[in-house]
Amino acid sequence: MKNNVFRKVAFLVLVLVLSVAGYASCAELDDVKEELERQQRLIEELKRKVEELEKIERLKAIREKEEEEMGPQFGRNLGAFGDINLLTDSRERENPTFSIGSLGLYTSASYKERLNFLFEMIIYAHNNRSGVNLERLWIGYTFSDTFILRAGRFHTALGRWNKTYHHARHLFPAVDRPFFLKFESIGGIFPVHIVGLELAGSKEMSYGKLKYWIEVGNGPGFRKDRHKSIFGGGDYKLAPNNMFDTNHSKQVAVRAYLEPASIEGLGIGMSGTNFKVGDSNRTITVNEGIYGIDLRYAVGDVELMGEFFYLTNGTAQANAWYLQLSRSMNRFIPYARVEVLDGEDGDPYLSNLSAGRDRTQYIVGTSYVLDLLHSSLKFQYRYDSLKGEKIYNVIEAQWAFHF
Amino acid sequence: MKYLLLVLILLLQPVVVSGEDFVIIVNKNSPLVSADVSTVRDIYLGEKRFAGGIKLVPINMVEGSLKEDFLNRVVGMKPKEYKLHWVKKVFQEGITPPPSMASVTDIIAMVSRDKGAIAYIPAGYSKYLVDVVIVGP
Repeated sequence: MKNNVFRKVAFLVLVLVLSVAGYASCAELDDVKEELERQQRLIEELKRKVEELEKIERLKAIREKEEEEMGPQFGRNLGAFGDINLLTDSRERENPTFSIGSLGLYTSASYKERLNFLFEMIIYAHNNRSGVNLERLWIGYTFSDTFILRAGRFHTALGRWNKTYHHARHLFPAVDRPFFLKFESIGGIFPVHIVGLELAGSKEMSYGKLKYWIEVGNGPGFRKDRHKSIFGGGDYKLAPNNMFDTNHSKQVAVRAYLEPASIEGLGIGMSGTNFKVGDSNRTITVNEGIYGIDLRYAVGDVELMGEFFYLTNGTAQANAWYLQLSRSMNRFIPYARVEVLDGEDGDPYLSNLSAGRDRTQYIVGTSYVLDLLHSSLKFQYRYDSLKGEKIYNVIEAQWAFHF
Repeated sequence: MKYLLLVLILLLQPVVVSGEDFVIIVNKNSPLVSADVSTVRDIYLGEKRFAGGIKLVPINMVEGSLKEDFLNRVVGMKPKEYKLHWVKKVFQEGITPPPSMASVTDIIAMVSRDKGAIAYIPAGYSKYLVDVVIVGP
């Protein structure tokens, strides 16, 4: 009897427990369901908000792009290179003097990264005159890394220096360019500017990286040099023909530069140009060829750089070369350079140029980097020997900048 | 919308992680899916600007230890040397330097959108990537 009662009570308790548990499970499931629905609503809400935000961002980007395309691009990244100099009695400056260098302004712009534009002008002070020169102005289209077409005014693809440093003295390893690579208006003997077309590109090969430049354009002309007494040579200086060529012949310049994969830090270049040059009266005409090799080898902190050029016109030949060694020692970069122009008497090209006489310079100095991007100080000694003229021992200081 | 999950997940993560290892990512349809470190270096130096007819868009992080680490290990330059390289590049060739972005989320979104984009991000983000591929280092 007792057992029966116990069984009945146990059964009732079990039924009760199961009922309560079942009720509780149902309630929990409802809670979970409700929570899931709430989370779902939240996710839907967030999705909607993200979509709205994406739409706003897209519209904003489209509007900004339209505004940007409609507005002028020129000058948005205007940069300036400049320099102030102090030098003792020299061939270029009669007395120990302060001298404002040139102020180079440059800007570039691009459209969809294929259409590029570059502009560089110089505000210069030379022999107490000042003026403005358009130095580089080109528009280019990049078809691929190996095929870039440009039209305008360039620095001629003649050696490494002329395609690397342009007018940025802050980037120069020394105070100035090697004398024979100076710009045409201030005693240069090479046509370092060309107006025309340029095809350029680079290609990664199994043996290294190859870069090339091919240029066709107006050759230079001979123009009377009002400052011929500085160098005591011929009556003329080279003048790039920006607006029209003074003869039917076009100047051609080609350069190839290889960075071999097997020797890190080494770069070897070959270049050449051929052009016809004469005076405005057409009493002088010279077919000149300049062919060069250049080398750069950077290993650790040491950099060796050199260029050798062979000049020929069928009547006479000449050599022009420089070799420069430098070493980075924290902020100090001491350097030494030799520059030589060695020609023959009666050379119809060099003898007509005011700065075409044989010349040798030895330079020793150091650069002190105030800020890698913005400013450097340079101090150097320069031994300057020009054939038949006084030898100068020049001490120079330069504060160069970029902003 | 396809980035929703990614964006939601990334919103829960710290945006900038310093002193962390990085991975290099490209779009899943990028011509760079098999790029090596040397190619990445050339792209960040502006030496290689196109691949398979597509304009490459290298993206930098804003200044910080991750960028410094990437430049040091992949490009082989200190940040100031890298900037100087680009000053020269702009001055010589008139091309545009790589953009810098502060948000990893934005970088991943840009790489997801642009076939030519390439970027480096903290390695910790790699498990959340959608539509992008890790190519290195």
